[in-house]
Amino acid sequence: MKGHLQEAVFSLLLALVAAFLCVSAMDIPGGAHGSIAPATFPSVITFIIALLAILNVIACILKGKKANNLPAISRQGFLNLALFIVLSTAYVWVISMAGFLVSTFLYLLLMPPFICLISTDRKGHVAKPAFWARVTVFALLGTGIIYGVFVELLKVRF
Amino acid sequence: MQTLTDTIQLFGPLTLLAILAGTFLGIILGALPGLSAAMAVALLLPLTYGLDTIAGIGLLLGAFCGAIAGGSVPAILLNMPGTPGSIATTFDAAPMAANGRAGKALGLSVAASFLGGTISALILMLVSPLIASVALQFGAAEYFSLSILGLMIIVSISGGSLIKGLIVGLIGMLMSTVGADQVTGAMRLTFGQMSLLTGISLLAVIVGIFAVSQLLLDMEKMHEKRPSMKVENALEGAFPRMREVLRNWKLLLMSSFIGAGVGAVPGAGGSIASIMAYDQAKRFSKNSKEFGKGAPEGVVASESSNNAMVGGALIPMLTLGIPGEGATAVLIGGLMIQGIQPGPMLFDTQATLVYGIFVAFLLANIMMLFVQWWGIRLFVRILRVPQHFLLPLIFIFCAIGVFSINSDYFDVYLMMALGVLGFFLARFGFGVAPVVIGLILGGVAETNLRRGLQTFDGSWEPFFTRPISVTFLILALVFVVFSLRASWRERKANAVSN
Repeated sequence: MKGHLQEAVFSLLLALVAAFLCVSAMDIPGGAHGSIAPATFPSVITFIIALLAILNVIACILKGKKANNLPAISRQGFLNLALFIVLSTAYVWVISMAGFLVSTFLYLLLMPPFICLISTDRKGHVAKPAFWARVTVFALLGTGIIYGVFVELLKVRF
Repeated sequence: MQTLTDTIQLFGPLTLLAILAGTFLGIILGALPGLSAAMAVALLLPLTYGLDTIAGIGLLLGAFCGAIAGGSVPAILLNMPGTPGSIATTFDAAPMAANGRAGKALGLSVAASFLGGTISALILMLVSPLIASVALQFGAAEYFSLSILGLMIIVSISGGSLIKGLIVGLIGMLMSTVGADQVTGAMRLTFGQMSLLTGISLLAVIVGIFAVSQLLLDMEKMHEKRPSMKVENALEGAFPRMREVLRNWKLLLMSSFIGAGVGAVPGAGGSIASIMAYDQAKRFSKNSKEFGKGAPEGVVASESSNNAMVGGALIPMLTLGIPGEGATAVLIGGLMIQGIQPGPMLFDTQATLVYGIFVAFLLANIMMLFVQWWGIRLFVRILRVPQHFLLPLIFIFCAIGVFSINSDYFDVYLMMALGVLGFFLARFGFGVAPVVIGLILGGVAETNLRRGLQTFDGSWEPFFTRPISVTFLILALVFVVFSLRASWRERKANAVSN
């Protein structure tokens, strides 16, 4: 899908979410009390966002490439994003289950090879034993430093 | 005299160490291509939670100054600006480096950054109390109109399209409405989520929008082949002496004034400041033909103006509570996390703190000079750290930092969701800074609109009849018309060229 069409789809999604929020905002209880009601600001804002987003959809479709000359997000780009988001969400979930040390060490151990595998010019690194040694040292050091800063220094509790 | 004594007492060893650490980390983050000053300040924001107010703000100011100055390292050595403010630095610094004068270009940029920052600190100290004393006369109507003006300037200047700018600014304003209503206590857009009762976490928005979205932008392009980064022989060529930099004192002064002036205009930012200063330097220089081929004056103009922009941007932030661009929006977030609301009242009620911020900014500039001058070899090495190590480390820092404020995993998931939103906004040319600015201004606008209507018995008239309020509203309209006219002209020019 071309860049301007991707933007049109994104704007359409924005318009739909804004319309949903607008309807939800209208249900906010409370009177004006000599001023404006609690529902007014969110309702008006979401209504304008929905309207502007639809205008942007129309602009994208009518103007085509002229509306947006940014390159489209490729299929591989979407895949990279999805994998990064899934792995990072899993990391946050694992912290709540297994604690900070184990999850952070595993995340720092797995992410560098994952990033190398999806980058064209770094794929070869993964096959080298020296790379794994470096990654292990990095994971150990990284976990230790972040633990020191946040848990010991700033007293963050998980 | 008492205020001066109190201010000096604020600067204990911990505060000085915090400013030094902020400056050091800011330079490192600014030196990494693609990381903006706003992202550097956002990443360090969670660290301020455990510090006292002035140490926390000093750390963030150090990071802001350091990141802007650090942006010159990749601009010089890789011809790739570390932050948008260093774009004009590449014009002459990169050719200097290519001709074996990288050391001189780096030295000039360090010294010019320090002098530009110091001059803007002096401007900040002189101008801010004057503006704050005027702003003390503002009532609810003026604050409402001012927040609308701030938002309009930002959406008009920051992006190419007014529609996109408005959408992004309004998304930020919408976020400010989430949570229990301050007047009636009614739940607004919380959908039963207890974590949203007190509103959306400011830190989750800041880190998600500025930092996580940037990580996703990097990840998207990870499979693409990138140009090799050769930074060997980075420091060849002699470092200049300070005398050599001061020889360009007229240029330094002019660029610093341009930087501070542009910085004080909401939405303008470092890239506009440095390009304007570069353009003026070229116009007035006797060696104008050398510009673009490795003229030292070009580096001095760009670097002094982008660091002077920092002081300028602090003026509306401190005096009016209006963030000028992304990094100052994050700084306001830092102040709010510490329970401080910037604005003219701050000068009246917490003068010691305000003077403390001035001194912290001045100290950050001085520390930046020494840290960058002596540590330049280390910062050059930062460019060699591979992305596959950096990106996961930055993500962990974001996640743990956001979690640390409320010990709530919901904030971390929210940060990720906002990061995805920020990615698409940035990717399709909407821009992300207006989200955070809208979030801060949205609260100001709604609170003052409601307060004003209550004061004026439900009448809207005073918003349009009080002289200062109506002036702000007219200016807001002028910016909208100006922006529409500019995009109409651009469209016409494109049609002609096609």
